[in-house]
Amino acid sequence: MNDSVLLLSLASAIVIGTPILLAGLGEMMTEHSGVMNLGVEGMMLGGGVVGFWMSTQHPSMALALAVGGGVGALFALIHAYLAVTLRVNQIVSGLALVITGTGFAGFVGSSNDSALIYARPQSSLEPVFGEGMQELPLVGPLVFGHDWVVYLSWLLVAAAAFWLFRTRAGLAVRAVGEDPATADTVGISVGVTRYVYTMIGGAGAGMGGTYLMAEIFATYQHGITAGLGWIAFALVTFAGWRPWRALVAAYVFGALRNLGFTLQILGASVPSDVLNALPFVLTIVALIIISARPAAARKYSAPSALAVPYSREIR
Amino acid sequence: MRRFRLGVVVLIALALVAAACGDDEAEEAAPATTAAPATTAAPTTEAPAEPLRIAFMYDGEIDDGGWNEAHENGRQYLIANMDGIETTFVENLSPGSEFQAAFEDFGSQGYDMVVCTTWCQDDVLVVAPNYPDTVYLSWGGYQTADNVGHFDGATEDGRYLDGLVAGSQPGVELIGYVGGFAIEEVVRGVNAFMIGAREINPDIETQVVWVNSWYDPAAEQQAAQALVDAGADLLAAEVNAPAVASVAEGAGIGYIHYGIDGSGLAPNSWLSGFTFNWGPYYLSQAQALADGTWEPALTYGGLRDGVVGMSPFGDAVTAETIALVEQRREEIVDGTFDYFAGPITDNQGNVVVAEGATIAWEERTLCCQWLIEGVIGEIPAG
Repeated sequence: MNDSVLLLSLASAIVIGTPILLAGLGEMMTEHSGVMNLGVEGMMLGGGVVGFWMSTQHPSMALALAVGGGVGALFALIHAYLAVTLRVNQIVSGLALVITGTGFAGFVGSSNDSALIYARPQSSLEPVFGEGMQELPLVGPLVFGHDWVVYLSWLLVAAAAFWLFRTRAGLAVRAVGEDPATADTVGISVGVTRYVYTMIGGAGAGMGGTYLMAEIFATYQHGITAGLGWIAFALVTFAGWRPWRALVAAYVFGALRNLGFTLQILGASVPSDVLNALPFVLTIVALIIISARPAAARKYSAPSALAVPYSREIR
Repeated sequence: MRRFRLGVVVLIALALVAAACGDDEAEEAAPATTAAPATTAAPTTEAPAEPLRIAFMYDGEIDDGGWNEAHENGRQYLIANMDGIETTFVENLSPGSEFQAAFEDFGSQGYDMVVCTTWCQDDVLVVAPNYPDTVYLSWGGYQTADNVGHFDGATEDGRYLDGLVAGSQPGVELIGYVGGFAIEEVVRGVNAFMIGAREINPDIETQVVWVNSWYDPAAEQQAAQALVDAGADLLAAEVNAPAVASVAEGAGIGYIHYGIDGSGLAPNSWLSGFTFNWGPYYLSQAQALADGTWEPALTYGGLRDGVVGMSPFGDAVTAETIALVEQRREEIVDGTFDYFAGPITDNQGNVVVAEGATIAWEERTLCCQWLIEGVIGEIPAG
């Protein structure tokens, strides 16, 4: 029985890792364009609460994800305007977005007569594959036991990896993130690129928040993301700005969040505070390991122009 | 540079908007109690010229579907049942400097009564001496002062009845129990719950998991999911947020809530959940203050005092079980039944309450530092 507890815990890690992955992948796209958006947590809450509301109105999860992603992108638009057009300090702007999104979610969640806290989604997703495949040992629960959003997230990882590192458009984005002045001289619009990719990041966070509330928790509660947005932000660095590594890292972080309770059940008590801090500790450790090896440091480092506002006149 | 300044202005505006979203309910709520006294009132109960001003302090949001919502219902009960009062509230306060600042604010604004609905004894005792004309009530404390009283509800009374419901569910072998912190009150609740469950089904077991938080929806969800993964076929919770209800609903197993009617959170899984009815207590305190008879006291209310009650039962609870719960409830109120009657053995095999002994009402709040036989889990050190 204990084996199966661990196995199911790993399967749960993939579930809770999916919103982290969606939000983290979005933030990764944003950062590749040279914009740092600390507001992931706020965009997850702000986009997610509207996506969740949609799921209580209509049974389509795809619609809820689209709405949640759209609202997340609108939140990111605020950041894009501040960071790209007004060139304000991106850290301050991102933090403001966290507060804004949290306040927005709290307001939407409780400002009407039928508080969202008692509302429930109209439908829940079923696993894509049949029971026969789900009952396969090991790979059954881990690989074939999920709903379509999980497989969509895998597809998005592949798409992001291909787009960023195998296409001219991806090269253009990375050029904007590495050296916007040079990108500008070859005719790439730095401003438009950064706006678009910042909004893609917001869409990822909004979708992650929606999936979290409408499917995983099937409920809205105040502060429901409980730091998952920050984990998604740390994920980008931990993964060295590489989509495939983000896939693995999201599940590692997800597993860490589940591990405390599984360990309690198995009879070993590790304070959950310690486990909750581990994603951030691991990120620091990863940074140390990477920075200690010059070759790795070059390959997995942040885009050079990350969080640096670009202006054609100011050099 | 001008652009930078404009950006800062926009940022500040954003932050203000966000902050306003959290506050506006409190502002709106204050003048909501100015309804004229009913004309049918007897001539002796003349409304006082100055309204009694009462403030409530919450450590979460008033619609959290749990602890704070139960207290907020108590405030609404007070508003509905007493004339000549004016209430307000603040949400989302944290212990320490925020509690003390709120106590200071309400004291200096001349509030007649300030109710803190969570553990705040340490903070209230610091501030209360400075405002002798304000009465402070705090939940769960034990050290009174001239203007400080405390109140608490007997979780174990309700939990015992919930345990009867859980034990009566057919096919349930392992109950998953999500607890906040392993403090005496929660442990006492788990133990009473288990006594009720084993009264019906002597083989039933309860696996507890502590989330080390009163409000952390994500942690509660994961703890509950971990319990379901470990084979729990019924979930019970003693945390403020209702995330565990969602997991039970998703897993299609029974659910027992804490402190408030949560049937709306898990319509299909809902079995039962005892309730805290703070309203009558608040009313009695406010009335005593208005009459000039208020004395600092420790109030520990259970089924007998009406502080603890039961929510409507779910569809899966049979009439037979409901009858048993009602019978036990009456016996507890009469004093003819004591679920803590010994012998009681803890889950380490030690006899903690001897044959013929019990845990007296006055000593309840000191209990328990042990988990009862049949509970899987431990009280973390420290």
